Amino acid sequence: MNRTRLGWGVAVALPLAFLGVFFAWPVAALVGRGFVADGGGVDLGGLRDVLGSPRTWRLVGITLAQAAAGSVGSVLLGLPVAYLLYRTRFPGRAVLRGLVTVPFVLPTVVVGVAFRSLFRADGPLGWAGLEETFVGVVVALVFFNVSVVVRTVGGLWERLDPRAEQAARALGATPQRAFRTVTLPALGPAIASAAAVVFLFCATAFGVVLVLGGLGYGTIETEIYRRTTQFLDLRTAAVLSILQLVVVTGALFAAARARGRGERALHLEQEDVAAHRWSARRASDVGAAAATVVVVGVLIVLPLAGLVGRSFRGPDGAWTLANYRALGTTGGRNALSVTVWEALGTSLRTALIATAIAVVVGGLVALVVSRRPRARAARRAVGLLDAVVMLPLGVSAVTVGFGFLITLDRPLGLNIDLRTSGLLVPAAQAVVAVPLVVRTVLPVLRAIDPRLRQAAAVLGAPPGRVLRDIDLPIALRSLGLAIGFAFSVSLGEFGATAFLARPDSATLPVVIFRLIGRPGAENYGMALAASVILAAITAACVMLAERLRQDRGAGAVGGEF
Amino acid sequence: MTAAGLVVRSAVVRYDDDAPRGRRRAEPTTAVAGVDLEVADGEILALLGPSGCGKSSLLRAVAGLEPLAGGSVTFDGQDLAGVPVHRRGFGLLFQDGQLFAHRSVARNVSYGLEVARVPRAEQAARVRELLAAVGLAGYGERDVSTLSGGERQRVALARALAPRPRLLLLDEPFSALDRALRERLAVDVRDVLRATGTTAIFVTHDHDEANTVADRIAVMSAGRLLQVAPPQELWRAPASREVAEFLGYQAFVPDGDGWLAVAPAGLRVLDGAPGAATRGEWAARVVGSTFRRGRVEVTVDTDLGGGPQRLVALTGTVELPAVGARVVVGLDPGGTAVVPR
Amino acid sequence: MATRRRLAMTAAVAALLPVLGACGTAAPGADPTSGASGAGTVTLVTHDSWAVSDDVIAKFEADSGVTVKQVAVGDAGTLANQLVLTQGSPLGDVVFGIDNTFASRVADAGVLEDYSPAGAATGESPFAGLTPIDQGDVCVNVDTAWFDAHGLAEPVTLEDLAKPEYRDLMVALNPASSSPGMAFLLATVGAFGVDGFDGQGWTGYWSALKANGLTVAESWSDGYYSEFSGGGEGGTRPIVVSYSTSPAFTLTEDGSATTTRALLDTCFRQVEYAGVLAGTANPAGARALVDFLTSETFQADIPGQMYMYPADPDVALPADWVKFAPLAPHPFEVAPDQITAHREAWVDAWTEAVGA
Repeated sequence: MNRTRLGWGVAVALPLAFLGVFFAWPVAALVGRGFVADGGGVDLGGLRDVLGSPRTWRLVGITLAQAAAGSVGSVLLGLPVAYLLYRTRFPGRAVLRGLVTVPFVLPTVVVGVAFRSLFRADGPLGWAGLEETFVGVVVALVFFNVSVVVRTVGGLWERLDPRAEQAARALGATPQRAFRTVTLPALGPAIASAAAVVFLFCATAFGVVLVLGGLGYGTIETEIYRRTTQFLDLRTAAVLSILQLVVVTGALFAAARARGRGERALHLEQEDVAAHRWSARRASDVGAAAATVVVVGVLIVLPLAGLVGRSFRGPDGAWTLANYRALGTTGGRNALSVTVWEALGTSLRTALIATAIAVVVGGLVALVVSRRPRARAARRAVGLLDAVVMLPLGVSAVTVGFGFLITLDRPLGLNIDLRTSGLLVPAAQAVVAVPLVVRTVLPVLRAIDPRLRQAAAVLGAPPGRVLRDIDLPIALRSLGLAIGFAFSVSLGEFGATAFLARPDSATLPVVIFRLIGRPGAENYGMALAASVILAAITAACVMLAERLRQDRGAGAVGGEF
Repeated sequence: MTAAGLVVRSAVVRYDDDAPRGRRRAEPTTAVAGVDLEVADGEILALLGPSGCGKSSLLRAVAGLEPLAGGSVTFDGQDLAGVPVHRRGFGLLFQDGQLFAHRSVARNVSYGLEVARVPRAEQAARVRELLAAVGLAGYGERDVSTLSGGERQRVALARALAPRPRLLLLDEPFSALDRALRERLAVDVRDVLRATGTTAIFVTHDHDEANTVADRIAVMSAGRLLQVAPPQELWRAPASREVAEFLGYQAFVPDGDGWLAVAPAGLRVLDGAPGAATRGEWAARVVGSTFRRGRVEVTVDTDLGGGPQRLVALTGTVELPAVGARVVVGLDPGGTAVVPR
Repeated sequence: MATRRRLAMTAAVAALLPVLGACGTAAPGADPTSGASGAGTVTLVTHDSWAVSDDVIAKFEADSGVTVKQVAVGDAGTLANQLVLTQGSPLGDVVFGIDNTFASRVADAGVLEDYSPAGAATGESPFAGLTPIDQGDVCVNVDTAWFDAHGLAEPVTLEDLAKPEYRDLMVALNPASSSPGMAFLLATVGAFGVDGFDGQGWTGYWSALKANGLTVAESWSDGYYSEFSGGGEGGTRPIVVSYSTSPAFTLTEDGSATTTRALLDTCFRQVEYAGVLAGTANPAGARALVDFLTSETFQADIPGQMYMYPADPDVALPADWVKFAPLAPHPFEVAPDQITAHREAWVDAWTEAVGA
């Protein structure tokens, strides 16, 4: 019993220690500096100045509008795709599912470049006049986040008993009415949960907004970046960070509420049982397919195809493999200190370590949060942990990165300067990946009937053995997906990585960013070729993970992303 | 005090519920409110009671899955407080089996043996033996998802019995199955338990099932035990009107200090035909009648002394009396029991 | 199927093990010093644009016995502000990449040791503890081919850019997010001050540019590649804010001519400095590294690696640079303490003048 308690203690303490050292403490320390007057003592003047400025409220307004529009757009476009990919069966579905997920894990640097060339006056979407507009930013945000809706809603939809809708039809409801009155309410919690998460991502989007927003466009996030990196105006940044935290906490609270309601009894089938073969005779199938073609075609394939196409062209516009051959070099006139392949190696190594950390930490959090302790206080604490672990998604990478500087010189009083250590980048990436791992593994662990564990315990299995024989085999299914996500996200992570001290090894996104920032058309072409490589690897990771999940057959929902 | 077998003394189980919205804190719910119970070695005890009476909680407390808020559980004289679930050497059969979906039938049955590090050859022999005992010989390599509901419960039973538990706890093991299957399985389970000499507690809300399986029946209500007795004794002498009502006694006639409880088949229509001697005569009006299980059951409105009631009476004839007809009913002494007030 | 899965798992675990092992051995921290002056490890903190040839740094390591650990932390602004933030607990031993727009802030924050190599060929700086290493001009660039094709005379001065014949032709960079953008803002501040440009001051100048159809890109790459017609990526505007060296990278096939030109009367000079960080654990090694950065070996490596001019005027330049990318003879200037004092206000005023 004591060993069990010790085990749970470690399971709680390890993630808390990790998130404390690499997230909470740095953020709190940096925000705290913003409230300290020059001569010491608390200075709340920043609060008054910043909150009293109309510019602040304009930024808050744009942030909220951008997040709201992004979530609504993602939900509206994501629903038909979720239906097609999770409610019908057709050849090539797995590939399409993977394709839809790719944008979510693409580096923002790459996406910015891709969309920028789409929106440009002479680009394929130039006629729409989206360049440097609110709508343009929202379109790019929907590109990133539509997969969140597709996955979250699709995961529930594929297991929803079709007979409820059939019963409604038998009672005389039209297909539309049956959908509206039976299916939609059942999907409600999943939709709300997905919308809240998308809201969170959109509210804190950074790279895309910076590249596509253009002049005069700013959100809380870009303003924190500007104030911190350019002016070291921590006073303003601190107040903005707190404002951002308020917005994010609101979104998280809504997401948690929605997920809570999702736990109410729904009659769920094993996954894929409820899906039917796609049929050209069903109006809903045809409609969903048409909508998916538009969403996937315009929103996903077009920007990616433009990127790929350009990567195979030389400065003179002729088709060539030169950009790819150049990946083995250090760029035109030594734009880089390493070759792109070397950077890729660094990226893969970094992402592997980050994934290992994220899977251990996230797995432990998911394990702890999946339990429902007897004591009320413990249940509250578990609920709190569930919410807190999501916060890294909602706090500016700049705040975290600069926070590292002032806290990790002697972490926990140890005489190790982590700030310039090779482990800092993977740790920072893991902080971002942990919430994804938790949200992927948690639903699966939660879906395990506690009596299954009890059955094993009664048969003589000690708690550790129960974990090994019951939780692990079931969780492994989603763990594959979690690993895929964590790996892709760390592979493409740019925000935090860019603000951290990196010992000579640059990661692929950093190299791409540097190549784009160097003169010479061959460097630009090389940057695009490197982007394509990065996109292809992330896509392959996610598709592989998706495959693993399908191989495992029946089971619980495959995550909330 | 019995040394052998299970002894439960003043057991209390409480649940710490979440406070309802808008309320600061909720009162803990008491599911088991001081229960004393003994199960002798080799005995099968049925724990009978309506849903929510605390019988499953009591079972889970015995298994070690719920902590006791008070009282004690001992087995063969050993106090089980502080002994974790997996060291109690008990078996537990859930309502829905809870088979391990990622393991085959044989690997489900052998799980307890694997945990106990029983040699492989021995495991295989034991699995074969048990699958045969539950009527599933040759099913070992099957995937559990291919099994029917009844087959799953048989596998779950075999799995629970494989490590030779000191005590088998069955938590409404058949309630998810259809009636015919339930009755057949109840007989099978009794036979298997008898054959293996397993001590068992069998939780159910169906008294027919309890009668079939158990040596003794403990009737539970609102967290307390009302009566513990062998089936016939329980039926013959319910300890209270509440027990009698739960057993299905349909009417209660004031009788001296207590009640005369009328069983489902304890009321007769007195039609002058030769039959069992009856007691008492009351006027009744026919409301309807059906032919069931070879007998005519007549629904009548009557007042046996406890106020007007709608009851079911049996007739000796095969004709259905007309609705609205006036008849006289009397009690079959074999279908009544005296219940203390 | 099961076997395949197990193989995949095993492969994943096997792939992970050496990595984890590697991070165990690659523990951070200084290597033990061998006693001799200048030995041990020196951590060079710098920005993303830092680059050096391997053999150049190897030569320094071989000559001095010092091991150099290079750490990049983002753009020049991020670097400067991170140094200020870590006052008292330095990120490393030497910094390279503080430019003259940030120098005063860093020099005043007390994060530098007061060291400058005596009599260095790269000259001296007005800032205690900072030594000039390289320099470059941010200037307006024009697509000469475009102007030829359209039969329009190229602009020459800042004032020209506000004239109607150059309507809708110019791309500037956002000073809030781009370091050349900031430099060009300073060029206009230096050129017009508060009362130049017919009394409208530099903000009036920007308003005029805006009224003349100016577009603003968020980063240099965005402006140069996406918007500028001479960037070779299908941009449409023939005037862009870039570097004086940019024309050396838009040569014709045979390398005999360039298709773009830097307007040398529109420039602001950026100078990048190096210095020893206060609190360094290896002062001797750190000083040795700063000395090395001013040496001819390193100075000659700068143009090919960092696209900047070496601070040492005697170091030979690449032939293309001599031909197509000279430095401006008289760039505009703004006093460093003025930059530090007004940077934020100027960016806000610029945003006001140009913004939505």
